[in-house]
Amino acid sequence: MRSPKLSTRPLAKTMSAQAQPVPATLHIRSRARRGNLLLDLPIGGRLTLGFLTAALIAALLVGTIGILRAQSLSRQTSFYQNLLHTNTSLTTGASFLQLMNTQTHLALDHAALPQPSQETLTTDQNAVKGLTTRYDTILTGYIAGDLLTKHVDEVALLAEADHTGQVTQQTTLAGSALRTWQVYRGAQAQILQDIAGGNLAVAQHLEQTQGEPTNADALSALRALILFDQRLAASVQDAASVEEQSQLYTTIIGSVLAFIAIVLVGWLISGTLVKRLKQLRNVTRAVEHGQLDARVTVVGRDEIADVSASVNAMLEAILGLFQQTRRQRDALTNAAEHLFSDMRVVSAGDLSINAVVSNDPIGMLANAFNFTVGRFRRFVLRTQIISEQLDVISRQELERSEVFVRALKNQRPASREAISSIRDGRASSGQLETTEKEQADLVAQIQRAREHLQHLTDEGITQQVRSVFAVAEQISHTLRRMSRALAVEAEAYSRSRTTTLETTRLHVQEVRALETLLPRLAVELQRLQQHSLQECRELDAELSSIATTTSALKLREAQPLEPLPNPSSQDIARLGSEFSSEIATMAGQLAVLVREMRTGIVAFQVETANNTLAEKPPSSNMLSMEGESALRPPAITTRPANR
Amino acid sequence: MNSRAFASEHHGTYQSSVRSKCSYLPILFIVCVLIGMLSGCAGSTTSSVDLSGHLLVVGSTALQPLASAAATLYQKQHPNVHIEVNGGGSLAGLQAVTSHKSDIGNSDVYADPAVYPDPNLTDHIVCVIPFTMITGPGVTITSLTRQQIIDIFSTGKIRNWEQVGGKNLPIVPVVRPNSSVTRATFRKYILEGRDENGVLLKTDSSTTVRDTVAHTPGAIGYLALSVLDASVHALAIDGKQATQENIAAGNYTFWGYEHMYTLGDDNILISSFLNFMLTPPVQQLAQKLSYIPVDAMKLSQIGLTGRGTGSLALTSFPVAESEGIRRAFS
Repeated sequence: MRSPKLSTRPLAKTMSAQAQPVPATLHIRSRARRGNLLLDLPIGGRLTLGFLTAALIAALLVGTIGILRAQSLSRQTSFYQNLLHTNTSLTTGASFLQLMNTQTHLALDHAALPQPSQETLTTDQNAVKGLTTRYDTILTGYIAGDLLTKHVDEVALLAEADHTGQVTQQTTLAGSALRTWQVYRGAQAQILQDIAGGNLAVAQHLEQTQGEPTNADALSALRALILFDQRLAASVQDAASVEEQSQLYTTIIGSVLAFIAIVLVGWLISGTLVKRLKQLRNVTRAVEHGQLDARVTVVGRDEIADVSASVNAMLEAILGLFQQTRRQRDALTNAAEHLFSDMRVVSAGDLSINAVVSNDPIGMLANAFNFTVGRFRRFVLRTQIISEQLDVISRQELERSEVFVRALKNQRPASREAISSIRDGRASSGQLETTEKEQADLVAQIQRAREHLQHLTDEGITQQVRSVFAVAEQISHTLRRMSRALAVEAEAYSRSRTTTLETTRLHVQEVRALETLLPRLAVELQRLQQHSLQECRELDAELSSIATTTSALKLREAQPLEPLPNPSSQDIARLGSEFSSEIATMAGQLAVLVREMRTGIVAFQVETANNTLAEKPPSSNMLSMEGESALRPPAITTRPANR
Repeated sequence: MNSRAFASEHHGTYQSSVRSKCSYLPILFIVCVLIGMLSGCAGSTTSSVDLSGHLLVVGSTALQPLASAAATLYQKQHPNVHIEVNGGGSLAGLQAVTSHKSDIGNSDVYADPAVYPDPNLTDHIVCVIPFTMITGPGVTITSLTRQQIIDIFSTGKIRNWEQVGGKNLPIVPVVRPNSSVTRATFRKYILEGRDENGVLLKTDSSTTVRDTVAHTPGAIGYLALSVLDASVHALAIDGKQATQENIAAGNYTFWGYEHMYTLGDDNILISSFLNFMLTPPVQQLAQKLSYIPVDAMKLSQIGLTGRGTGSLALTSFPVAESEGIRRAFS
């Protein structure tokens, strides 16, 4: 089944590793060169050629036999006609000879009469002379034209029956007839001369001694010739039978040869079809059994060659597809692994990772991942900056407040001195006490605000970030699963094409899981945002209360301090007013920061909401197609989030 | 899977059967061709069936030497055939063959249709026998004209060799008996029908004629060339000796056909022997025995032999006619 004739041809497009020895193929081709003219014909034409050749051979045979037969028949016919003609003329000649004898006798009788009539004698003489002339014409005509030696085809016909000797016999017999006739003619002329000369006795004697015997001789010789011609007819029949026999053998041998020739033609024609079809079938069977590198040797330019070439091309295409699928699978697996390692790095805390983006589904996922991570990184960075700023502000405020508290502590003995020195101003002292209390309250408030800030920067944010990390990890987990599923799918694809739909369905499920995870991430982020919002609000409230308290304190300080032109109280008032104004500006700064934060959080929330919305249609499209266009990242992710 | 395996197996057996058929076909063809060729050969070789039987040949003593020699040759080739050749003379031969006493009758003369009217009597000319004039002791003449011969034998005008330029010696013509066919030929072709006068012999034998002429001074006779020997002198006619060349060229007229008469041509053995008589070996033998093969005779020259006698007759014919005849012969 795996015949050695299966030659493997090098594939230009695909693997160079499978390049087979080219000379072998070339050798096969060169060896098959001789039948190329026939193989270049289309099958229909070839079959027509075969039938025409067979018909031509048969027609040639029939025609040759017919022509041979007709020729021999015509030869025989002409021979028979000749024989009939000469027989008739010779028989006439024989009767002439007899008549001559009779007429000579008659002339002698007439001359022997007592009173011979000269007229009768002349008539007799003329009659004999006329007969002589006639017979002479017949005999000379026969010798000149009817002898076998004058007819080459008749001699050939006799030669076929092995009767060549008859040609000589006929010539001899004709010679004898001629010789006897000449002798008789001489005797006859002598007799007539004697009669005319009146030597009747001499004439009569001559007739008796020479005329009659020579006449008998001439007649005998002529009869021999006639008999010979009759025998010749039998010889012709012999020759005809011999010729018929040879024709029979010619016919038999010719038919056998024609049969062989026709069968050979058929064999040749069918050989050009059957052998190559068998070869083609061998190749297809080999492919069926897994020998994908088997190829058909394409010889000629007919339909079989076309089919063979297209089978070869089909095998090439299948092999190419196979290789392409394998490469895609490998690429997908690679990308998935890369993404997975990136995710692991991100989950370990390094947000600076940027996954490699490509056009395949994994690339889309990586893009989405990058986008999410980038978003998150920016948010964390901003939050960090804000917390640092808040930290700095709170520290400054703490220093200021400590300075202020120290100043106030210094102020207390001074004010006590002032109280003790200025006893009259009780109300003012009482006012001072309330102011002091309010200031303490303020410090406490500031301390609370700072705590809030610290709270905001430390615990809440880290907690929220941790939960977001958890969600991100879940996403990465899902992605890993998906990549693994893709790898499995690629392998499965190589194994069987039927399971593609199922794996695609699995993909969709994964994507759906991802989809559910994304809202969760959004919810987490929302919670984080809400939490920070709440903190900020509290902070805001705290700060506003601080601001109102400070302003109130300022007003109150401004009133009692005016009537007290005490330099220390003046200092306090100046410090207090400075402090309060600083607090106010700080509060304003804080408010601005908080607003910034809020707006950042709000933008984040809106964008994540948009993200989830935008990602839905592609996921539904996943089922229908796997093309690049369907997996193009949503337009929103490409938009830079610089708000 | 099972069905497919079965199918392929089935296919395999089919293929092998086709292949075996293919290998049988050429052998079949070759056998056919061989049979055809063999039958063709057989058809051509069937003619050599061995002949067997007995043949009796009776007749002319002049032809007897050749007939005997040919019979011996023929029996060598066909051991199962026995041929008996007897003499007795031409007329005896014709009698024997017409009365079914012999298979072949040898004759120096034509069978007269009036005497032998059997239509089956078939003439076979096997060779030509030349005759020559001979002279006895004391004759110095080497050649005579035909007219001189006629004058010696028939008219009696010449009675002494002195009259024809020889010595003074009386001419003694030796004449054969009436039954001699050689005499008939002599009368027909030399004497032109005239009677002979001379010493009439009792028996018709060529050797008797030869011996008689050899022992009689001034004798003149005639015999077949085959019995000629040194005891007699051969005489030329019109200056021409009885050679094959002269006869074939038509310059010498004293010769005759040798006939073998049969009744019909049906017997394979007879026709085989008669054909054998005309084959080159026998014709060469005939030449050796002083006969002339039939092949040597030229038809156009035969026509000229009668010119001497015919010229007498043609004097009364229109010249144009004789010219036409002459042209026809040539």
